[in-house]
Amino acid sequence: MPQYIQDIVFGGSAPSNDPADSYNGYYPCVTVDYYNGGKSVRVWVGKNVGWVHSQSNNYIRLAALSTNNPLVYIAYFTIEDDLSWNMTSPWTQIEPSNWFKNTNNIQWYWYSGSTISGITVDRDFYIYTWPNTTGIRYGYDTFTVTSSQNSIFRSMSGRYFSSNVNNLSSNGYLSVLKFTPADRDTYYSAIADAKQQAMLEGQQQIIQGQQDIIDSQEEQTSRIGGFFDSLADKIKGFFIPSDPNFFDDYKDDFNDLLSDHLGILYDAPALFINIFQVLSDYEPTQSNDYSDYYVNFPELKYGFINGSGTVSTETFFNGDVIDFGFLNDSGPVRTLYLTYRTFITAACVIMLVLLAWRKFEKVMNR
Amino acid sequence: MIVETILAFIYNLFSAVLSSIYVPSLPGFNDVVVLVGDLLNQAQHFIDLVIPWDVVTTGLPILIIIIGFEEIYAVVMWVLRKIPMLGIE
Repeated sequence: MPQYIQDIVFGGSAPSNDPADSYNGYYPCVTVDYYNGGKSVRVWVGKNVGWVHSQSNNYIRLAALSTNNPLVYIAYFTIEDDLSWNMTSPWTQIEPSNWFKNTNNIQWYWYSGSTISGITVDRDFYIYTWPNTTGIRYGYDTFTVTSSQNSIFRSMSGRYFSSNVNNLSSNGYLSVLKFTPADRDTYYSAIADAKQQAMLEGQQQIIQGQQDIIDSQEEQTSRIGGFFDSLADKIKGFFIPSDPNFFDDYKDDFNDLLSDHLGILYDAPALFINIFQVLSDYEPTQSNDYSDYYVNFPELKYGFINGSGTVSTETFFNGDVIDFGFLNDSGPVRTLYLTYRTFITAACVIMLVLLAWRKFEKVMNR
Repeated sequence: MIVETILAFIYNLFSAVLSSIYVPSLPGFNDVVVLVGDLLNQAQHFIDLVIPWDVVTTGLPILIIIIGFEEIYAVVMWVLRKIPMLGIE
């Protein structure tokens, strides 16, 4: 026999034959049309709602409960019953003594007016065992609806969905009320948001506390490290000039001073200094570029006194410039030359090693 | 700071001593210096063409050390013997 919830409508008013009308008339509720074997049962639930089912495979109990104002409704039937709005046979009247008076009481009420006794329950989301008041043990699932969630329910008025439940557990209990994910998310968002916000704030406080500790440690470390860095810089600056070009500038200034005042006396040292400077500053070719490589053979000439008594010059070499830029041209010459450079490098290394070995033997045989 | 002070002191000392001395320089000496520098540069280019300059700058000190090993060794040991704490005879 198919069993499923046809519609769930959030918000609404009590039916005309609802006995709770005499108390509230209109209330936030969830209206559930439950389809069972071709028959529909409408259940109205109040602030707290729950589904009650028997522990017998043959019985399903749908209950609406409230432990607080405004009311509690219940539709109570068995799957074998001829379900209708006017069904009466499954209901059992229980004492109405605590009706609406104890917030921890569940009030079972048959919409025709009969009531069953209030039963003390916990309002959390648990499964309970129904007291054996009627000779039949029942279980029911409840969940608490807060005032904010109740507002959500009301704001969702008119929304509904139809869905096959058919998720009765193996023992026939209707244990899960099936909402769409969106409805479920909306319903739990208030709780989730609040919990998440609380957790987030707590985590942020923890993180902030840890960050404060780290900042404090870093500040102390920075102070200590900064002190030693500053001390080292001061000590270093005490001996070493802060200007990196100080020595070069000083050397040039001193050279100019001696050259200006000593003149010819300083020319010879200046020449040697210049030679040393040229040799040390020489930078060979990079990337085998030989465009700047040339040898300038100067002109060679000599003078003599000719027969007329004047000085004549005789040039026997006009000078020449050999430019090695042709080595940049790709071709066999460049390839051969680069091969030669590799070879001569290896040859020099080998010769140095052999020379060192011969020197070693010479020293050891002495 | 100390080095700067000392060097500045030396410079000022030389400057003061030489302040009244002005010996003329050889005429055209700067041209000679430039010419010599240019010739040296050409010579280095030529050497680099025959033997890579890196090999020269690296190998030449090694060559000097190998050839003059005994003399260098003798000089080093002579210096070390002067240090009584080492006890080298």
